[in-house]
Amino acid sequence: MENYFFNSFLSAIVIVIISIIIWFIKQIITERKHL
Amino acid sequence: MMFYTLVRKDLLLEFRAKEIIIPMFAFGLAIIMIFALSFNASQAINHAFSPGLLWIIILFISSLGLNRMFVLEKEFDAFTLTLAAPVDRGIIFLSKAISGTILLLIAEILIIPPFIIFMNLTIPSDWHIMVLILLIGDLGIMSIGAIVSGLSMRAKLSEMLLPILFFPLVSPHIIACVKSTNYWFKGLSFINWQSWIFLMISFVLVFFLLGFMIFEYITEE
Amino acid sequence: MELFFSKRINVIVAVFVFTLMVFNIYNIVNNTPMVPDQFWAQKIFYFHVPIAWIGFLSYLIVMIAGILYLINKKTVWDHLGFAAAEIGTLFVVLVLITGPIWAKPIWGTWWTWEPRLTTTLILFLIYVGYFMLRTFGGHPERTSRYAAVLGIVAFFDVPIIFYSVRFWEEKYQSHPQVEITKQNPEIVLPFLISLAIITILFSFMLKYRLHVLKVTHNRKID
Repeated sequence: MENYFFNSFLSAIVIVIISIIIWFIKQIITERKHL
Repeated sequence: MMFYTLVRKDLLLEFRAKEIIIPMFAFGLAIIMIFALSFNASQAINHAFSPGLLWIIILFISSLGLNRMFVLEKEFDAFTLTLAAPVDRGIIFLSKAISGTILLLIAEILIIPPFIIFMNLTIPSDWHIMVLILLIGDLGIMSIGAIVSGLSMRAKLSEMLLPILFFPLVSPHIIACVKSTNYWFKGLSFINWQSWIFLMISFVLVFFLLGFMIFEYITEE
Repeated sequence: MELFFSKRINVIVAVFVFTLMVFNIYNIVNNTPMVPDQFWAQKIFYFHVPIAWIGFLSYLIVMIAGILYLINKKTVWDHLGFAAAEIGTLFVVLVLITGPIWAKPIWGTWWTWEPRLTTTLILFLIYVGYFMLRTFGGHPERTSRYAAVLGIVAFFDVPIIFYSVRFWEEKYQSHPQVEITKQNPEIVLPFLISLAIITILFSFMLKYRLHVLKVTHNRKID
């Protein structure tokens, strides 16, 4: 039961972190394309 | 003064061609049919659902009506001609919103009797309150509708863009309309649900004011 | 125009922000009290709520940028509005994802029509329309103007949306997160730290996005 809670927390925070990293990567790619 | 002229113009055009009200009425009728056939529900369920269903129908036919109201302006580039006249842009917005409200009210007057009949509804005796709800509701719908139509009129896929913009923006107003209709329908006295009416009125005031001030930025060329 | 990260100061700030975020996560994992019935899942609150607040702040920025753009038509305001809309929507999507992830273990369902979550959903839908308008609106300068108008209209709608949804159904009253300030300080402090760090992250993302918009805009003109 407790493990279930921890999985939720983990998945939530992983999703947040990965989304933000992907966002940054996208910006870098867009920048390089136009130079 | 200009305002009355513009409203008269819109209404006269409509009464000659009837190409807004008739499609709205037909569409509304079609939705009622589909609902009655799909659900074939008992009278109790109908009574529970009909306030929400009524406003869904009103929302859909408004979407249709807004499209057609502004399509007329697009054809023959009539809008540019209207803009050429030295009229305050805000007045154009008001005239569109008010004439839209009137057309919507007429469509509703046509659609409500069939609605009551096919849904087998028994309605409370103080129907004049419902007329008030419809009036304020329509004003709210048309105020935000006129703004959004102005934005989407010139876009590609404007028939698709309009509902996508319109529905989320108008949803709080619709919630209030449905709530009010629901309480009226159940026969509760006005004091209980007056806050919903106030919400509707605030919506109308906010967006009439906003539309009036902001419409000139929509109509610049 | 050069790459954003070819400037020394930007690299330094980026590393700093990154470090702050790592610290934030460490702080949330280690220094927060374990809430009795929610255990680990409750800790989602430490970033779910700041992200939600910043998302709304971002939409406020869209409205302000919209007003400024309509007043003096400078491109920078248009870019600010667009950048804030994008990042705001990203944050709002994260709220809509982390919300259900938090709700499922606690209340047993993925979704409830809780007022704040519902308001966030409606706002998200409005902004889907915003991006459609930007894409299909027509002439670039007309699109900029229309997007500015929509940004203003959208934010005026937000309080009305919130109040209508809040009183919509009694059983969907705000989830018992209670008033943040009335919580015990062991919870409030990490929350505020998280809020500050995520705000810093947001500002940095905004600055970067503005830079990229400026670069691509100039490129298009050439």
